[in-house]
Amino acid sequence: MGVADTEGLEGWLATSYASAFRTACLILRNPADAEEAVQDAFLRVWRFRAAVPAGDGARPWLYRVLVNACCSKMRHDRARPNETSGADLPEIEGPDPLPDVVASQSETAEAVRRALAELPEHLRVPVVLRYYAGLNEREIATAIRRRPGTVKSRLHEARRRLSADARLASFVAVSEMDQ
Amino acid sequence: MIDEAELRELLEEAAAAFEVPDDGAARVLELATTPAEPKRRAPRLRKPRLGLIGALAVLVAVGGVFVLGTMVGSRHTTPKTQAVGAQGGTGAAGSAGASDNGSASEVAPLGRVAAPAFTPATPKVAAPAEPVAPPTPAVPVPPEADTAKVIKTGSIQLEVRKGAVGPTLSRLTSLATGLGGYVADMKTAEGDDNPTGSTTLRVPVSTFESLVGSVRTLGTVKSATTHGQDVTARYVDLQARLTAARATLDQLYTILHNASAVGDVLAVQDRIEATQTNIDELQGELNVVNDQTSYAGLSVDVAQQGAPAAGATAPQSGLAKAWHDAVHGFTHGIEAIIAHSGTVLLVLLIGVGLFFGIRAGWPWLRRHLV
Repeated sequence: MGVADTEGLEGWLATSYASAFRTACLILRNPADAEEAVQDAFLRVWRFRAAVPAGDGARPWLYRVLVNACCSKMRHDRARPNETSGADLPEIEGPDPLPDVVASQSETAEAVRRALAELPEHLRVPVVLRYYAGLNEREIATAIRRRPGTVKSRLHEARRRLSADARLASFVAVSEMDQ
Repeated sequence: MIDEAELRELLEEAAAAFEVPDDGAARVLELATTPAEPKRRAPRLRKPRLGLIGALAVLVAVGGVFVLGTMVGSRHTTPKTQAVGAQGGTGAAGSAGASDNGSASEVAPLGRVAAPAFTPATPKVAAPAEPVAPPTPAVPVPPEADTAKVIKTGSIQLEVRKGAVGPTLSRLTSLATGLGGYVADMKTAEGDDNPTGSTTLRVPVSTFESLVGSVRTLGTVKSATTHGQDVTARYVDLQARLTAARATLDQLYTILHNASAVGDVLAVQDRIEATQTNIDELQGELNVVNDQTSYAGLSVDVAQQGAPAAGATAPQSGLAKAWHDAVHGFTHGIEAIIAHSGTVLLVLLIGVGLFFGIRAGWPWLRRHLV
């Protein structure tokens, strides 16, 4: 993917926005925070566009910047719990999620989101990058600055925990029965 | 274990539930392409607030240094000396200046007037034959005469007539031996026109005052200094530790006698050796204290009339004086640096602490002061 020129970079960012936004949503569990994180990440990419690698390295690089922005956002929210948007925690564990969010989500999506929310950050990020963003283990390792072996073990641990999740397991069982 | 393909489908379904803002990409690109600063950039602190914070930090630093300096200074400030009049103090006056840990009396240069019999301060100690003076309200009650342990030392500078240095030194030796003491050290210099001599006499503590009085009659006293240090507490402590160590040693011997296993015997022997070493050290220390409190030391410097004082140098001028002043200034500078290094270190530590404290609390300050 050639993103050396400005127009090419704009087009690439525009087409990558939806995927990046939903990746950030899965990591951060909140659309508002995700939008801020994606904005930060894209601005950073734009500012350092000269450093964007050409070819297949561009996408992992973008996700690396995005993961960094998401991690910064989470750290920021942890440091200032009173100033969080308030939408993430009630959305996950509260009895009354936002009506518009609930309306737009299926029961499956809600179960997956809750199961993801149960995962710790170091397991949630690789899972989202691997099974939603479609990065391979080496690209994920580049994105989160860990060794591929570490990514592999984290993915395994995340899958094991997701399998043990009661809500998701029951849903998977139902879907298998439907199949 | 959940299947990877199934997990991928589930995640895609969950992600699809999030509505992507229609103008999200456009807004980001617009922000990126416009030269304005990003909207989430933290505003700067207003200068007055920044100055206020800086002033507060400096105030806290100075206050901390002042308080700590006061605490440290008060700890090191103890009454050490008490000047005694040129005519000499009485025994009662000397007692009034006694402190728990010792006292020192210094006699200023007396000129050429021979002082009357010198009676140095005798804190907490009275001769066994003398009655113990009743304590005054301001003076702590002295311990029993037979239990008090005081190290007495003193020094006298005598000026004698021309040609009398040698006989005076001989007379000093006779005085010491006559009082049951001995000459611990003696130095004489008779090579030039101004022969000098110095000697250190050690006499029983009870005869120290009479020795000082006798020495003062041998010539003109230029200066006299006596010092008494109460080491009763240290002596009692040493005795108690020695007694305890000996009791421990006896118990260890009993245990060794009853021990049968080789390991036990070796362990007890190690303990016995350590305890014995400790006893020897304590006994040695006790012997030293005993010796110091049994014999008082008096250093006497004898010089002829008109001779420069011992250790004094001839007046300098010109390059020699300049060199001397330079060396003196350099030495004083180094001493000042060393003396103030503690304060500087303290200020640095407080500054570093403040720096990290402000740095840690900077986000909070920025949110609440802007």
